[in-house]
Amino acid sequence: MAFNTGAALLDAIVLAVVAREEHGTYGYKITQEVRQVLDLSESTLYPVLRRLQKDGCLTVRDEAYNGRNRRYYEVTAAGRTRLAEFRAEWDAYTSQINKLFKGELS
Amino acid sequence: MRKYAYLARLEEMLAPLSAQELQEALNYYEEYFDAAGNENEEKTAEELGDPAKVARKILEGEGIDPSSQEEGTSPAEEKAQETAEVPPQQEPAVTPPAGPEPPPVEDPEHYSGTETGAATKKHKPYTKRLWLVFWLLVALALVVQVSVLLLGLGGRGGNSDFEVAESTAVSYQEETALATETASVQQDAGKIIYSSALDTPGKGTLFVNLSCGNVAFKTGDQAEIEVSGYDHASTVSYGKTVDYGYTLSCDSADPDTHVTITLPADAYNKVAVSVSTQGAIELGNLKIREISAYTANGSIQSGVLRTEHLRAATDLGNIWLEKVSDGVKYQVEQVELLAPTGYVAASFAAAEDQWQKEISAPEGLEQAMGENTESTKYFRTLRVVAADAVTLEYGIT
Repeated sequence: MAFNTGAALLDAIVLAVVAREEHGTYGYKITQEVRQVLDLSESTLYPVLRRLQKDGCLTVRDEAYNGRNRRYYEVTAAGRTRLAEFRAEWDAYTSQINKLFKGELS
Repeated sequence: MRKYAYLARLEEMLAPLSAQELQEALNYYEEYFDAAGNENEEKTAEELGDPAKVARKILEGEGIDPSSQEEGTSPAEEKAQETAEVPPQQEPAVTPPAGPEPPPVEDPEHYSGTETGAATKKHKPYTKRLWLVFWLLVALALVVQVSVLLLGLGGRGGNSDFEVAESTAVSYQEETALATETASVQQDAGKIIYSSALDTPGKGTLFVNLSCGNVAFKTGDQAEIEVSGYDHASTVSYGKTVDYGYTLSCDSADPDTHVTITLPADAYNKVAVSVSTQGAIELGNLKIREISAYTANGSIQSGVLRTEHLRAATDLGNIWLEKVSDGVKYQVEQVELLAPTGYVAASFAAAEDQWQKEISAPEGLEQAMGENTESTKYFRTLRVVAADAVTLEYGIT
């Protein structure tokens, strides 16, 4: 794709994916779901998840799964607020760009 | 690239991270491989991308400038860093030359004594520098420890662990070491009476049997042993056992005998240390699948251990473990900490609900509740015996 997915957009996408699961979701699944909307070749979501976790947007908990550990990520209240902000900004941004592309902007 | 090769590579590249951050990252990628399925390891590794690039992104994310770690890399490598489109094979400085993929150091299938040496030489320049910094820190820590020890010996009371040492060895101390508190380790603890390289078969057991004295483990590329004290070298013996293992014995009765053993990760399948009369055991940051440590009289302590089975027992002394966590190739399954006359303090990387616990302490016997309906919930067992306080922390990352 000609357009880059910057850090902020990646944060927003991952937040949106995690927010869909009420009881949280894990790294592999998040990656697969992001891949459905975005070409993630040569990219890894671990630094994104770490960043969101450090910013207090995600919490983690470890659960045993098939005798192994699995880390679940869940969106916090702060994360939901951040996601709402991202959505509002995205709407404003895309509507402006759309207007321009469609020749509605004078 | 298979899962463990990938993880080993990643671990190597992530050396600048703290032990905790490193473990978290490795856990993530190991979990990712597991979730993708064992049969898809090659494909998953391809999806994740070159471990060198992945590591770079992680380091950037943790606020470490990866380029400062890679001063020794070639211009081609730096170019590859800047232009994401460059295919991964154009990374001469990071990827070993073409041809079959070299067996990673930590891959048990390919692990043998001869290959260890070869793999060591492949270390990148910055890794060497990091090792240098690491060893400087280790040396500094040792000097500090020894000076603390000396101050303790010089003082009147002394700590119970060292009382015998004080009575038998204080005359030497006064003559040689007390004057210079921060003198080098060798001078303080007598002289080096024995030193030798150790084989690292990657399997078998290393038995370390002391009659008296302290044992400390360090992690490093070159497996070696150094014994210092006031006794004669003849008290030390080192030999091969039948099953790829080695036995190291020290019959010295000198409580100031100090055995320092340096081991790379998974140099053996098991390390078994035993001190039959008196001496402390410092396990350091050992990465060994099975660890067994026993001393009749003295404390047992460690830094960050990565192991599957751990047994630490002291008849007269305390146990203090900074952290017990999973290795790259194995998870902590069984931990036994026995200090029937002392205290036990330990922290574990795994969450509390993963442990089946049996704790015997003065407050009574604490056992994990019987509501173990989910059979997969507990997959680690912990047994603790102590006379004093038991302090256990879980889920420490």
